[in-house]
Amino acid sequence: MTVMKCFIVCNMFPALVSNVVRAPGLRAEQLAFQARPHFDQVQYLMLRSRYDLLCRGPQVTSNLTAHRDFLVIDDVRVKDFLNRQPPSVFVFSQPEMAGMLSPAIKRHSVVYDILAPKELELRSGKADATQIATAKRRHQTFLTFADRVLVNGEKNRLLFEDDLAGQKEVVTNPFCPLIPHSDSPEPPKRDHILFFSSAQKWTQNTPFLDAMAELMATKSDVKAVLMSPLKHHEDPESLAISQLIQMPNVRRIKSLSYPAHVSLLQRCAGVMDWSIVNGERVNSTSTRLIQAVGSGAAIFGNAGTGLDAFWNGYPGATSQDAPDTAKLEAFIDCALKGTFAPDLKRAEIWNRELLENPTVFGGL
Amino acid sequence: MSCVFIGSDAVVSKLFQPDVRPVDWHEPASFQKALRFATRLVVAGLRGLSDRDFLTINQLPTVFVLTSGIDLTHLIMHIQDGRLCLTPWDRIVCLGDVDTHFYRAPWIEFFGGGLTLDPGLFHSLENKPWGSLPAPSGFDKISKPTLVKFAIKMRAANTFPFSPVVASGENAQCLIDCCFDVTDVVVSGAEKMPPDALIAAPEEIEASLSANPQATLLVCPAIVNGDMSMELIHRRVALAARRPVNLLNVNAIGTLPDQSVLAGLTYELG
Repeated sequence: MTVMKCFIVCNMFPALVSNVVRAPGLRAEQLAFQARPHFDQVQYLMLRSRYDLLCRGPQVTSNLTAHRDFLVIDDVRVKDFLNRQPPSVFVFSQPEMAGMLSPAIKRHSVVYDILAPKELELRSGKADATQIATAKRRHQTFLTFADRVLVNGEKNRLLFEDDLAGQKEVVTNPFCPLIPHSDSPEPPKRDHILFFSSAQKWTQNTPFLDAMAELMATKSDVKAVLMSPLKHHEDPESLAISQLIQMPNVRRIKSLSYPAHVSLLQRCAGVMDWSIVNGERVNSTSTRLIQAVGSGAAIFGNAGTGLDAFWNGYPGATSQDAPDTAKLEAFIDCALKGTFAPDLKRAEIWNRELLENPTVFGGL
Repeated sequence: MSCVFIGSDAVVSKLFQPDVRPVDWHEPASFQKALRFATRLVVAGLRGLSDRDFLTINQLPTVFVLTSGIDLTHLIMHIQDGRLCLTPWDRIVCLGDVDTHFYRAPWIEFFGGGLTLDPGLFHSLENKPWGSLPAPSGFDKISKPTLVKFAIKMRAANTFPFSPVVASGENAQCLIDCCFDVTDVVVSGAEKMPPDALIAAPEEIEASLSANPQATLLVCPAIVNGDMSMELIHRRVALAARRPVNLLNVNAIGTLPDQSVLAGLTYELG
């Protein structure tokens, strides 16, 4: 009897082995969870070159835990590895691992998972033309050879409509990270507000931070955590951040490890992240906000992003224009009072159905 | 025992010291003369410090007097930029409504040390200078400049891509700024988060590992000599951790007269 195997090709560490986890790592975990009922064995796979790249540097990043489901294979052994395996399913999130594709298509099934519109991101980040062309070419290659394509939400499906026209199987599989549940007997009190500064250089959230600085100065009874690195003077939001870090009720934290972040989210009533909607934001889904909803916090975000089609309705509040203090204050008050509880309940059900959706990996 | 006070006249009058005559610090000669014999410093004007002052502050045990949130912001800024380091010899004393700021800087309480700035402080300091805060055994023999050098090396080795959540044993908590940049650290107990890193004196290794089994890093500041060798520390960590341990980094600084060495051992756990 042959063993049915599924390999999730990672370009970032899943939470299984590292405490530095980014969106692709969370996505890999989601896919592994969804694949487990359909296969005998599900494993993560990372190329040696990628692994070395992630571990490089003087930082204490090598906090890696060994796990038998996480494999690292040397780049030159990829072909041998693929030939040795019985016919299996290889899932590629993002098309970076193009080197693995050509040996894989001979004997195995390939699933191409489009997590984010890479080309749009590169354009918004003002990457050079070669980089954009490479991303585009790889995307097309993967579309040509993929047996199944997964897209992150309805809005992305519309964005890639032309590309997906010739595909046999396209499954909408919105992003939904697994949330480890707190092991404390009683749930912690949700009395914090968490908000963020901009993560990418192409997002701009100065109006939001300005309004937050104005608001937090007056609401000294609300404890808030600002997750942001220190900004330089040339960054537009540096003025707001330097006001915020002097307030007694605002704690600035650069960023947190995965377990600490999860425990912080479990103590947050509301999570806020707003930025000006640009060409890329229209289709993007925010990992920060999706994670927050997963752990049961109400969210405040911008209207008109890829998240609009999530959860059958937003569990929180949105703002199309730059939010003013009144709007933010209304959200914070509602979140602390628990007004969004029914919406969050609905979102939880939506998330659970998504993780148990059999069509994502069924029939491969 | 001589204690020099750096700060503005306003703070001096707040401390109402009738018998203290601060040296006029606009006159460098007399200020330098006063500093030459100083063994303790009281810094109240964190806003007015110049680069020369940091040379002195990093030599002498210092009390930092915080009168407002702005003073705290300056303290944080100096620590962040690597000019200052809080050691077991230093104290932070809050005057005014600084208590509300403990939320954004929960590590302040580690450096209280039971010292209050009352009018009798200067008198009591003349008779009994303050000593080291509770620290791992042997650390009270190490002077502040050595600890500052230790901190510079340890901070460079222990940099994370995120703000580490740190838990520390009773004896090692005032070494938090010597092992990590304290302004970039989340305090596990005060902020109720599971720790990523532990600071434990050799005698606390077992207790902190069993209290925080999920931590992935352990920093052990220790005086290493024949009685407490690195092998012994390694055995204790390996036995207590119950999972693979890896000694990532050893920073050894300063030989003490009895041939023992100040060392910081960084272990990766699991």
